[in-house]
Amino acid sequence: MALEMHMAAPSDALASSDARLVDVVDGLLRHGVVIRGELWLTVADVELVFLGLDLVLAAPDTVRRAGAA
Amino acid sequence: MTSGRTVLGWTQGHIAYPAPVVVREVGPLGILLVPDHLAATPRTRLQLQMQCFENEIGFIPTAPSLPLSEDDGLRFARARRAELLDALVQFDGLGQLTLSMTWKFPTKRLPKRICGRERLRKRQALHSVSDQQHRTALAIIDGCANPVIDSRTRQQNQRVERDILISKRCLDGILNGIRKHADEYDADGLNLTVTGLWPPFSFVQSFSGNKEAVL
Repeated sequence: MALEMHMAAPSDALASSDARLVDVVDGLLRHGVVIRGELWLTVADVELVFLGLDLVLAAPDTVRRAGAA
Repeated sequence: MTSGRTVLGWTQGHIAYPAPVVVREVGPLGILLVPDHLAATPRTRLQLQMQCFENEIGFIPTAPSLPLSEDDGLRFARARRAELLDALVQFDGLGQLTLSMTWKFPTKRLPKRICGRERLRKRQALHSVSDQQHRTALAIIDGCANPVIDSRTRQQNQRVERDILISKRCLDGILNGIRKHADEYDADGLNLTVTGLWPPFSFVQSFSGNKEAVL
């Protein structure tokens, strides 16, 4: 039996409720430019704390609105 | 205090933008902006980015899942101007196709009256069928990924996804190649879904900024 194959344009994928296409779109949503930040807290040249921050370079009310959406 | 606009990405040297997208110029760069209320969810931001992409606007997209305000996008454009300009040149005329191979874990029910050793043996056999499908999926997807500029692969349970970076001009040829390649396989239970062309979301780099706080 031949491999089952589907092709979908972005507009179809975005409008579809097919689980396979929903998964593809969900995968895409996580990519793009992500602004990262790294912070070291140091005392007397000794690195004590490292913080890796993935974006949240947005105003608090923007984040709240996104969270509520 | 926010301006009430969300960043979709950064661009350069384009004149006609599809409504409701507007551009704020920052030196040689332009910031693609839309009113916050029209870009309230990751999906609506992705739809608006697609609108720009389909209108042949070359741009470096933000991650749709992470909303970026105009003020932050402006600061970023000023701080990383050279990197953004380089990226715009690098990704000019490119897009990504997403190939997704899925298969189902065999769901053959094991008999109730069966000794432990036999049950383990049968379960192992089911796993080996799934492993075989995984290997076939990888082989198919490897054969599909030619010719590409770059690729990224993700693997989960019963799913292999590969994003391939291609020239927009080569799209039809690459899709025909994938169709021909898929037709050659006798792969019952496997499913290939090809979507695109998308902006090169998986290939634009993560910009990093390092800071040191001395106590």
